[in-house]
Amino acid sequence: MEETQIELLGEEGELVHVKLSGRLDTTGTAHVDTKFIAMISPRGKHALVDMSDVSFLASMGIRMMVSVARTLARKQKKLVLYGPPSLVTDSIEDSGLTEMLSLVSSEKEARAQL
Amino acid sequence: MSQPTSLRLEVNVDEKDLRLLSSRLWEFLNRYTLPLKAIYNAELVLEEMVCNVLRYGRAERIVFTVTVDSGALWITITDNGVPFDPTAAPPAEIPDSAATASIGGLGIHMVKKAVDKMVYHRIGKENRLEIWIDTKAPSV
Repeated sequence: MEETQIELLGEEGELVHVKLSGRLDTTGTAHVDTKFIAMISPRGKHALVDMSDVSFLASMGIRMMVSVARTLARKQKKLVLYGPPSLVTDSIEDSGLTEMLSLVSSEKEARAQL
Repeated sequence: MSQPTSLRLEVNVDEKDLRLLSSRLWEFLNRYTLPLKAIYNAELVLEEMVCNVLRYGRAERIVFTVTVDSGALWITITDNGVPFDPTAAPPAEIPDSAATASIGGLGIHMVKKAVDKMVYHRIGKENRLEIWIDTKAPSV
């Protein structure tokens, strides 16, 4: 199975842009959660997260994202996820957290959310 | 010779084994013409329900079995841990906003949304959970 990875795509003004890929199951989330939080939370900026190469999303992965969304919300900033495959979208929708996690289809739509 | 229609996985008490078990499950289910969504949801069941037992169940033995049946995947998870009926678990606490978010029971909630039927039995000193995932849906 593919390795879970995180990449900082860029930082611009009030925005940080990261990419997650692979499986966000218990093992994969544990592999990236410290980096994910460190890349986003301390900066106190809006965050865009490219989910286009995430192949699987379990509750641990969702909790990681909610944790960061919660930190950003307290600073009046947003976490916006974009581009996940349809099965991953279904996982997010089944969690009931689509409004909190701001899920959209494309990077363009994600930027428009901010 | 016909292919086996069941896969039995014995789970060691280590969450790190889940990745390997998911891989075996995926390889097994991909031998059949099944909707991708059904395979994905079977993996979700393995991940979430077995993880729950590993974390909270104090079980010494967990067995996950999946059978490819006509029109459905039939999954059974048995463990010798503390009694726990996930079908009776309270609904997940879905918060209204990220600022005050605290989520309990999310994994079970996601599984209940993803599967078509879930039945629990306590048999002697074992928990037995049976799950059905419809495979008649069109492929994704």
